Amino acid sequence: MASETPDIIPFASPFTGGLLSSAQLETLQEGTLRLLDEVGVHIPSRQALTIFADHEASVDWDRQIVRIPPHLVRKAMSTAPRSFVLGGRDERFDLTLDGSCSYLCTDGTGVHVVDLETREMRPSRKEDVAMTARVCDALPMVSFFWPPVSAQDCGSTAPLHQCHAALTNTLKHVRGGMTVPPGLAAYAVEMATVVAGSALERRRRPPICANICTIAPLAHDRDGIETALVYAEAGIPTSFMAMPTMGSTAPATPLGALVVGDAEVVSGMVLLQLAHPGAPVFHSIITSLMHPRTGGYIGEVSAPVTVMAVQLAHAWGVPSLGGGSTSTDSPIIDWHAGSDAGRGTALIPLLGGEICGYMGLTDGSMVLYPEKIILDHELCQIAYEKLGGFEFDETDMALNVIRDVGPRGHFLAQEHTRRRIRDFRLSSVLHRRDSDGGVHDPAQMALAEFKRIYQTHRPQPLPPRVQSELDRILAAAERQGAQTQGDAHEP
Amino acid sequence: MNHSETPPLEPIEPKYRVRILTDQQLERLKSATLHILQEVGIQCPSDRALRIYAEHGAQVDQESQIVRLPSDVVLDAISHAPRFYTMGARLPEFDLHLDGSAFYCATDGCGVETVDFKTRQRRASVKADVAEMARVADYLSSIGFYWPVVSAQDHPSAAPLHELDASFNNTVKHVQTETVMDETMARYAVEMATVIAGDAETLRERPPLSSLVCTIAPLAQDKGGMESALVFAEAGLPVGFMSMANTGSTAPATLAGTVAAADAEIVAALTLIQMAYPGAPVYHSLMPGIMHPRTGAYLGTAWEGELLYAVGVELAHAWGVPTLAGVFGTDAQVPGWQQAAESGSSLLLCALCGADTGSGLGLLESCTLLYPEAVVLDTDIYHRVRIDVAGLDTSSEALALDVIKDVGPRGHFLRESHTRDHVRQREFSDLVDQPQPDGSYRDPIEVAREKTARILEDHQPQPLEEAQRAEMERILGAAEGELGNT
Repeated sequence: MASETPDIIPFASPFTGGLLSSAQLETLQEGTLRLLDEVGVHIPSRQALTIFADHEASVDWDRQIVRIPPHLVRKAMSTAPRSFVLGGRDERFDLTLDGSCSYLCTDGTGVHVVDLETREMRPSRKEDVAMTARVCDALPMVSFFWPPVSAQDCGSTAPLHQCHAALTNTLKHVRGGMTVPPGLAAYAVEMATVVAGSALERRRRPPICANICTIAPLAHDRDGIETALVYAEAGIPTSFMAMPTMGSTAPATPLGALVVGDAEVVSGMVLLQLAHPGAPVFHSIITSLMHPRTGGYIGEVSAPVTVMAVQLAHAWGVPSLGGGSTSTDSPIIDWHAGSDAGRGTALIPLLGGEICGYMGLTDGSMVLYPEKIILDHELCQIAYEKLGGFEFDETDMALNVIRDVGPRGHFLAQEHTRRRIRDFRLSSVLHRRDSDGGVHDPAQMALAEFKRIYQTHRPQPLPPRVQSELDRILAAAERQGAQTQGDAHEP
Repeated sequence: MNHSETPPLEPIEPKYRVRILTDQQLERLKSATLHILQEVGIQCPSDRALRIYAEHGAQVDQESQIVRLPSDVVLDAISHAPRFYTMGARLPEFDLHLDGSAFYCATDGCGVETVDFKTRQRRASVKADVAEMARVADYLSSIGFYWPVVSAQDHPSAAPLHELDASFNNTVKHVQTETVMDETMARYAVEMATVIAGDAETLRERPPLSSLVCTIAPLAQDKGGMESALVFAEAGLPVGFMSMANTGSTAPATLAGTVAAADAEIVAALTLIQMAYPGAPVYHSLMPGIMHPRTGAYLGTAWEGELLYAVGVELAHAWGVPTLAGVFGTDAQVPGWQQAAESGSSLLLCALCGADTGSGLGLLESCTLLYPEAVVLDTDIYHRVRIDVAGLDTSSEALALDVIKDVGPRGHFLRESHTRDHVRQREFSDLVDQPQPDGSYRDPIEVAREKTARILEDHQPQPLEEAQRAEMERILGAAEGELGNT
């Protein structure tokens, strides 16, 4: 029998005040417009450049650089919807991206897994995506499932297998669209159609969304941008994610990194709006810092940079994937990982952003520790409980109880205490003590909790007809994938 | 003896603010406090305090020692309390000007066990720990003032004064005691502070010592604590009152009920001080915990409890006094993931609410166990929060459009002079991302231990003058003589 999937818990952001004034936001947006107009973006795709040229952008065909005049950017962005729905399998798992709350997601896309049983690090596989999807299905703070690792045992169609493993193991929304050879993108769309039930329903409540990374500075990848055009045509919401690194691929200032990233993201969104006006798009800038000695990636940057990325998205009139994050650069679950996750969760209600959280990965989003999903989820739940705002009424102030107990009394015997102490949730991983009073290691508790959920939670399966249809789509994609790969190897 | 410079303080100076409670909610909580003080009252076992309460319009039941405070009496008394004042230091450049623009943090205090830095064995804390940690605190720019971090249990008859002696001899920063809990001891402590300040006038203007007294939940005061506070206040030294009401056991099992009961304890004590010495510098400290419903344990960092630290900041300001906020603190037993995960969130929120002071770096196991390196680890988190709230440069130089234009699509920024200039302005952690030869990064806890060892080895703050040292010893000797015999 299938297990019940608990309702998701969106995270209201009661404290977001907005750090940038509207004048400062305008300065940043003007900067983006100037870069797009005067410097341009490198896009090695004839298809994309043709769309730009058809809309009177200035295309340098030799250098594959498009320069987009400000009026064209503004006109294109005016057709992007501010709010849309990411569908779940049931309507209760639908996410309405309108800025009123944040939905928390898993992190992606790592390439290594610390195996649940052997505890050895190994390359990630499709079964890892299925396993994490199933466990996240039972975790109420996870609203948005991004396959945390790639299906490296599935060859060139790995992204489609990740999408498949996720759709078949959770009722929640899946970030199933990724950069693939453009010929294969249609298969992801087809999977979404089958799960949604019809093309109309796929547009109304798309069960998957897509993410396309840009290249810093100021460039796109051919497969990425052409894949995005396929998704946009089908109404699959698509985010462009810029990952500028201060000092190497972006200026060594937070604002400089933001404006580079913004120009990349906006150029992608403009293209999709020119080709398919009204296509749902969202905006994501994940800034980082170059380690000045090693050149390495430091993922942690100050909170104002992150909140400004969120504000920029909203200034362009689209939702944001950004905000507070539990992700860490630490390779293992240690003090560093704890400090990143603790700070990241505390920032969630302060930074806003429609999608945020990024649970489960270490080492700069490269390594999946299954138990880290539980630990991060626990911290998100604590942050939700303690930072979700403070509402109270007369009965909460308990003045009569205080009067009855009086000075130097105690509240243990009060009926009010028995009733209300139950409002406080007991953590399954923190503050657990053994019989000697020692505190159990939270990571060990989390590992046991992950295994318990994995062994017991069986989300409602897709109808057999849908499952076999998905298998058929995957088989067809694999045939085409093999052929595409074969073509690519021909001289 | 050569001494080393104490690095300048780096307080948290938030450029952004958040509000937890609406004005209306704050007024409701204040009304609840006034209601409790008038209708239920607080129990005060000090004849001196009862006399002061009675002389200023409180209804005192001498038999039950219950004091009921009419609202107008409370409001009148507390209107004299200053919102801003200075907490002085031995050296003026380390004075803390509480003026609403900066947030200064202290170590945690009054722990009872130490994991010995050299032997790594867990043992009862001693005076030497207070001295060593004062030197570490003196070095760290995160520490604005010092709480004697553990108790000097090797000097049982006058431990609090030995803690002050160890502190004043080993840091030039402001010291706040949380253990001077009777009138006689307080007089010696004030004498020590006078020696540091030089004279009674400087003592009032730039007091190098302040005191914290805990109330007893629910709704009671400690005789010695209150009488000690009156001695401090008389000398012009700041005194604060902390309620550690525990939701479910010593406070109602609701957050709002806990806040109301705890605030009433604090405000009753603030009122007493203002009745006795109008205008005396005071502060408000709301640090409730939540009772673990299965074990009864005090959980300082669990669940919604931490939100109350920030609520405490807003309440203090609503009463018109500065706050000592609860920051850091962990129920973890060893430095690691849980300690770090629990440490930073209350600091961030209290900073954004405009806290004036806070305490809590360096102890584990619910504020009872010292790992010397924990204060260095907490410092790393402190600086991240400081940077998080410090605002961003939004100048056109920072926007760097011309640099981006020069580099162009698919270029890189490594050789731009703008990069060289600005990469040096970014602040990097000195604990995490520390490379080692094989390309991996070092364990930050190991790096923190090395840093702690280096500080202990190298840092010798400017010592007290010989005459001051001799005077401190004389005071200690006299105190031992008097207190040892009582």
